[in-house]
Amino acid sequence: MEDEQIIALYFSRDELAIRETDEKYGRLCFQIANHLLQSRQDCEECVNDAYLCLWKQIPPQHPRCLMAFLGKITRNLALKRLEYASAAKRSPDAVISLSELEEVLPDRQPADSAADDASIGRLIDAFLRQQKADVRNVFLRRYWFFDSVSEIAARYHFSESKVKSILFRTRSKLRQYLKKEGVDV
Amino acid sequence: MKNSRIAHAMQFVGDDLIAEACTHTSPRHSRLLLAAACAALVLLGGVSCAVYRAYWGAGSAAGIPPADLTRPFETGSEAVASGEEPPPPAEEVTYPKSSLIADYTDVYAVASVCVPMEEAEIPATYFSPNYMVIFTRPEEAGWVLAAGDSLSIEFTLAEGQTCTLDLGYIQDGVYHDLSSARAAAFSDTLTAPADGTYYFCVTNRTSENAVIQGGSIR
Repeated sequence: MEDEQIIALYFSRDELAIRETDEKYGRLCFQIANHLLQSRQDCEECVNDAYLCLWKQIPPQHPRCLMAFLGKITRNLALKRLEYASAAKRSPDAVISLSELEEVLPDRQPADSAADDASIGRLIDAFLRQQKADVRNVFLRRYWFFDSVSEIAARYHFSESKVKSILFRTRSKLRQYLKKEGVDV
Repeated sequence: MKNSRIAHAMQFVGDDLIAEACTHTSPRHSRLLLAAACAALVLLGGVSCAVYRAYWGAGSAAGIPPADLTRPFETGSEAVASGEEPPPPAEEVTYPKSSLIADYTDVYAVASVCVPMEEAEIPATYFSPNYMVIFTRPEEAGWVLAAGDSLSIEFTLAEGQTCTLDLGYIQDGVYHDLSSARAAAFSDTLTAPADGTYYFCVTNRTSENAVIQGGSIR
């Protein structure tokens, strides 16, 4: 079913919308959650919470890209679960990815963290648009989708050392970019 | 456990970049898969399918059988749900972004391509899912309008095709929505809110190539 048709079902409050969403994007959402959480039960709960969130947000929201909209909801919910999960339930790859990102921008609690996230997010968006497609996508697969280095290497037919090199250089460039844009690194 | 500020901040990365990361594969990957697919198809005698895979992006539809352009991509629900798309065609996948739009932050298109027109006629054009076509005069010139002036666009899709398309316009480098519909023929009119240079643009929100048979901007 086309995204527009699924969104139309949400607008008419037809519960078929959830089934169609699950059929089209359920596996993607599970993958996103699974990259962060090790527990199948937690992943399933996360995905179900994402569908509930989607049901509540559409309408009035009318996402242009349903895949990305739902993916963001799922990722956000999974990240929140990760904060409270025990060590045994956290994906080692996600933990490593997050520690790599700490090198770019140390974790602090600014007074208004929501506004700070949005402004830094826009800077990261602008930075990524300046990069080549392969570099940008490797970065996003690692730090948005939390793919492992080996998964990224297999996806793009790169060696693992090439993937690590791309990530290292891009993190360095991002840090420099954020510093230049006035972010306190 | 602390969470990285950047991990949360990345929630604000544009949807088009996320969608691109979901579907993009490396050019080398594409060529290897395409070589394997072509070899298999030649053995089975399915050359037309390999030819079809070449029509990704945006370009002239003149002289190309509509059936080759409008055949749906083989994205079964399972494949889409896993975030995988079939490999795009032989050429390296690039995602051009026209400089006619100054800021793509709120523009949800993977790529944007200018389509030059002759006189007022829209040429036969195909464009892939989430691609935007921007209709221009020669040398990317636009339509200079005074406040209150009207400009209309109308076009029809290839015979038998219906697509979900977003219609919009660019005013002095800024994109604006006009309408969105699923139809076989489209028309809309913009009334210039201010003096400036305007372009019509159309974005494909369907999972197959949209093929414009013809139309006009007057």
